[in-house]
Amino acid sequence: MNKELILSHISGLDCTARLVEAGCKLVVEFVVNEKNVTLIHTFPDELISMPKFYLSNVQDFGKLAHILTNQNDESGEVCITDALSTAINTDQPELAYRDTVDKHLQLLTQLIEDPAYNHAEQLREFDAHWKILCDNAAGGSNELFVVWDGNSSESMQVRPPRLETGSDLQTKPVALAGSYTSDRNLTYALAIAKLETRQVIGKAISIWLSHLEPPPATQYNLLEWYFRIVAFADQPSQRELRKLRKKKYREFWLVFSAQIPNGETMFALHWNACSRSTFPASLDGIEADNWTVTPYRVRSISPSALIPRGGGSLDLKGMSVLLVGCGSVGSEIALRLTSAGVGQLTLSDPDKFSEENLYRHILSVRDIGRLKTEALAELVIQKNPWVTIDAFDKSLQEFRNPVILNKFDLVIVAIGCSNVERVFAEFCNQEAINVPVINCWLEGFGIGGHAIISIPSTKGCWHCAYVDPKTLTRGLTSNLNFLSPGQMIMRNHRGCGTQFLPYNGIAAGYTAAIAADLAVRFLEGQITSSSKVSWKGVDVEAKRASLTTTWRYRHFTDSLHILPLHDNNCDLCVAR
Amino acid sequence: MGIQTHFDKFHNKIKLGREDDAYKKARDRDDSIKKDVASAFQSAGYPVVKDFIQGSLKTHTGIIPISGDYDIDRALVIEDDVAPENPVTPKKKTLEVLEERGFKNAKIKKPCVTADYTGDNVHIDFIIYKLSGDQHYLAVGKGSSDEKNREWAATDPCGLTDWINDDSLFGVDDRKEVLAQFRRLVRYIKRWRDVQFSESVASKVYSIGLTVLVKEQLQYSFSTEGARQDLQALINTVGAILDSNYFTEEETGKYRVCVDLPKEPWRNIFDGSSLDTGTQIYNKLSRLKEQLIKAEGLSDEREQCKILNDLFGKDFEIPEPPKGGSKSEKAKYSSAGIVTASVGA
Ligand SMILES: [Zn+2]
Ligand SMILES: [Zn+2]
Repeated sequence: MNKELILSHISGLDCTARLVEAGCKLVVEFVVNEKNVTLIHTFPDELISMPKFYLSNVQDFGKLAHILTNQNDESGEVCITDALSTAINTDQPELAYRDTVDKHLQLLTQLIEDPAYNHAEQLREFDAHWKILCDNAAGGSNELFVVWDGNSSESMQVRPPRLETGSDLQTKPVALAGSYTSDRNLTYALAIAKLETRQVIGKAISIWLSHLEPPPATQYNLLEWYFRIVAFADQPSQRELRKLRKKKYREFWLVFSAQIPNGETMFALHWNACSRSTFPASLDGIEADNWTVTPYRVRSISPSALIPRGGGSLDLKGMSVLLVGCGSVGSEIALRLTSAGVGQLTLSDPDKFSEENLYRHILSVRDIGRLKTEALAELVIQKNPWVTIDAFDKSLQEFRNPVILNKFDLVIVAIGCSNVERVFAEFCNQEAINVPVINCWLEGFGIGGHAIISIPSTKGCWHCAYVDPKTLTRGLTSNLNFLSPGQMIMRNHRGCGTQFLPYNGIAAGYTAAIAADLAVRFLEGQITSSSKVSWKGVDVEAKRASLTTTWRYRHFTDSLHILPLHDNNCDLCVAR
Repeated sequence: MGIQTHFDKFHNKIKLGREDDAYKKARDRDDSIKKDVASAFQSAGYPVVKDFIQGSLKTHTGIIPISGDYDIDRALVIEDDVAPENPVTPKKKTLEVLEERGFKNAKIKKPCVTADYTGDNVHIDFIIYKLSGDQHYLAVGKGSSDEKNREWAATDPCGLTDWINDDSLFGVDDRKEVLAQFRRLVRYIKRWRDVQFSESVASKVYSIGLTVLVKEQLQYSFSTEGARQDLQALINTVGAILDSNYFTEEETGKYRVCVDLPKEPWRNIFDGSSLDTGTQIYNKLSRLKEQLIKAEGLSDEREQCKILNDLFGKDFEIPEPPKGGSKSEKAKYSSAGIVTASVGA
């Protein structure tokens, strides 16, 4: 890096810059509101991210947003919020430095000149500053798991850490709301936490704040800050606090929730006294009873916090989906649907899991010999806890019952057998079943996979995907297929009855992805008419096996695009 | 069902193949006369070294004529060494044979000798070539032609057939389907000609001209699943023909048509055709395109068929209106009973 060149570029800005400590450091100075602002940068060996600057004499400026300080520090790191997502010109560091310094200049000027902006920005990064506070507090990096739906004012029981190392669920205290202790969706998480072996040490009360102040700079100001913000607790929370003062405690937690400009934040305070004491109503009481208070970060375990954070939708929680077929495609669909937020899933498959399925199925060695549905239900709930799963060992034919079918918002068929699917589609048509059905399947040799959704009373049906392009009548194989029909595609290693279709887990994953995508888009209301979607792979393997491809394969350029299902030559759609 | 099914039915009604009964009768006639002509040539010292069927049967673009007259283009080839200097000589010989066999209306035309079997609705054109190496020469000239108006004209009859049948421009796996669509389009447009033009003008809207136009401007069309879409292909192909420079507006609203043979002798197929013929072709093609687009935009199959019936005649049938109330009978599947499928999940 040419530091003189960097210096000359910065000098064009409204500040002075110089090199110190034999050119190891860069000092930038400017004046805001008659205050001298000094930024110091230590040159890195290699420029791979936005250059970092420290603000000297932080105490001179009061509390500033975007300045990360450690207790008693003279200087604080300036945080540029979008630093992580900023691409920098490493070929011309002088430009990167010029733009970075310019950004700092603008930010600090605005923070110092505009107290309202400074205040709002401090609230916006409340969590970051609260974390620093917690990291600096006694014990360090204090974190509390809160298993609570965030809506009720019910109190929680707090259990202490169980281990020094291991899963965070065991090394951190856990506050569990009463309504969750018997939540079967959390059975797995709670088993990991081994809560039954952890004695309850106190209770936690949830407090709603209608207004929040930026967190204190140091722990010394914590109590003063607490009494300021607790005045903004809502009525039910105030009532809980008054109740709290009627008894004596050695320790308890307050779990706060408040709105900040960019969403909702949660944080906690742990109160601890030498002996059973009454909870203080003011600063004076504290000293009398020798209460100590420690800030905790809150790690929330609740559907409303975790489902949206993972890209899922809370709107799908009430949706009920029947998934028939839990093979390598179906099982991945189950995972993807629930991770999207689908709240009720009914699985059905008569098959047991076998070691032969191992390498392309998400189930594991310990599931060999179990019903696929049972093992899958267990896996799904461990992964995405807030789902209700029912498991059956019925085949698709056995679901030909209008009363049962009409209970679902969507039926997904992932059995890869067009004969059975045809019989089912004809039943749904005859009985005027009003539930949309997704059929999905893949083809051998990595050539591709397909998913169709047939939405009753819209144009396009299952048969549309089976119009023979040559005869224009109903065909026996799908017109979506990429491998020509009538070829020997199954592999057979050990004689009759042991043949299988050669494909791998990647093909299964793609196929599950397009089917699940179709499902979620339908459930979210984005797809309102019958549609189809395919993914197209390469034909290297198919060619090696001397297989021929269809017209559709050769001309297909719409991988992953959702297209209308309707085929002009479908006689059923005309009859409708 | 979609509109393609109706095109399929139409095509089945109009297509003429070598094995069709109607055509076989004509072939039998042709065979027996051909033998007589060949032996007459033999006696005259220029034996027939090969003979072949030329024209639409060779290119699979033949249609059943609405006039009821079956056309056969019969080529007879003699060797250059022994061929008479005067190209009209073997044509006169042919006429003699025909007249001996009682044809009253046999006559020598510029490129051929023609004869009608009025009784059987058969019309045969004898086309005489001489062959020198690989080069064919067509016997051009009428009975009365003087030296200036008769010649052995270099030509490439097989080349033209091969050019029409050529599919090398299409992807290896798709060529069969594309070529079949091309042939259907030619048949549609030939039938359209027979229906839309008066008999006298229709005879000047040469089949070979229409075939070359469709071949050169073919815009084939298939659904993403590979199902043929003849209506779409026809609209686009007719559009491309109109957008090319085959038609020259010589006066306001008056067009001259020029379509060059893609093979030797490379001449304009419509050479000498009138401004009226060109104009009629242009205007009727424009209306064809317009009406096809109109049909395409309709959702009711019967309404679509009504327009197509108007364009292509009675062989494009208008289906009966659907009978109300009756639940659709068990739909027909393709004829196959089992087909190996290759899917899983
Ligand atoms: Zn910041
Ligand atoms: Zn349909």
